[in-house]
Amino acid sequence: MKRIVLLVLIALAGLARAEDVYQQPDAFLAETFGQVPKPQVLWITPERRPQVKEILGHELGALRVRYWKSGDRTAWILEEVGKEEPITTGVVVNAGRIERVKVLIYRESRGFEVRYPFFTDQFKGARLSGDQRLSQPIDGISGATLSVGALKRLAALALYLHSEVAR
Amino acid sequence: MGRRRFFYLWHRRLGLAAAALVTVLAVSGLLLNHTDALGLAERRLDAGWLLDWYGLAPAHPPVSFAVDGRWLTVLEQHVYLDGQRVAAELVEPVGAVAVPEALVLAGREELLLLTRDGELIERLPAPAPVRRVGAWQGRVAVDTAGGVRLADEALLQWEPGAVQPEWSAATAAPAAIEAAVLQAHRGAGLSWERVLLDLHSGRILGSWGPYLMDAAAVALLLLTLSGLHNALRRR
Repeated sequence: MKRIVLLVLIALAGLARAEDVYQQPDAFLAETFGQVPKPQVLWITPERRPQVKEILGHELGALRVRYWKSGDRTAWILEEVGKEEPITTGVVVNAGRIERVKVLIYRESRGFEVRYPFFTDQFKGARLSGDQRLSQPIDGISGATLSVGALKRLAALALYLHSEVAR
Repeated sequence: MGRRRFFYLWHRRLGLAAAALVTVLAVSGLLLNHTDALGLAERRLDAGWLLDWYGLAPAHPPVSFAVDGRWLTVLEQHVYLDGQRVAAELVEPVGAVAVPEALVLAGREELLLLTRDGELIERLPAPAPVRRVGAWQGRVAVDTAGGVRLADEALLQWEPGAVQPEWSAATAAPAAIEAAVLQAHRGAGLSWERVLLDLHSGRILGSWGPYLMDAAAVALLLLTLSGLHNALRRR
């Protein structure tokens, strides 16, 4: 009887886990660059703030964003709330196009399907259109609408920030 | 038992049983009828037990750090600068320091970089779990299990540093600052009107409270009917 109780408790503890770490940010950067370049910062100046707000639908909440750059490639570790919790996402931009989107840390209780390549591969090659939206459609996932929206916003934000760095 | 005695007995029993609730209903209703004249919406209640009941009193005391003539306080993860809430949250605060361009508030797992106006510059992951934070020649230093780590001037990278910084420690903030933090945490507190409305509706007792007040209202109705019946029968 005690064993059954213990097993049930372990199972319940699994359900109640706070976050899923699919990849640490350091590991994502190492995978992206090999030799990770020194981080740099892009300041969200008063000129950039309205663009950022239009993309995210809210203020970024920080005055500077960290990024890593090598040649035409930049990598960004960004966070956006899905339903209630932030989703930590790595985005690599190459010459103005999305090279890779990777969900690093997922904290919501549902919608984790956005971490899979069948979803994130859709972002490859996307650019930023004139109205600050992605240039290609991204199919949603039933039951993960808010997480899908969060990742789309982060991809668009990374493209915008990359364009500001490249200027 | 005759019908008259039946109504009389139950009128008395119902009256006794519902007396307390009906009194609350009547008195709160009377007061609420004169909310404006009595200024009930403006008058505030500050009783600790009541704020506890409403869940407005903090579970832990505030933790404050003196930094560059300012006070950074953390109360239930909310961050305050000189008693004013800033748009940032921090878990497990360990210290705060000032560097030339910013104030740095350190938690065990991350650091908040703030302007001197309290605006969030960046939320940085700590290089390792932080025990203490200090400043050394204008640079941020953190004490970790693996030794002291020193940040560069821009707080972009960390390197080991065999230095002895001045470590930050929590200090009791001036009473005015703590009062401002508690005030901001509680919001404006509770008005008399709010409490009376919750008493009148029963919501003050939680989700079952309204049903209790419904029962009191039904009891009052039955008392009226049985009272009328008794009065008519006596004639």
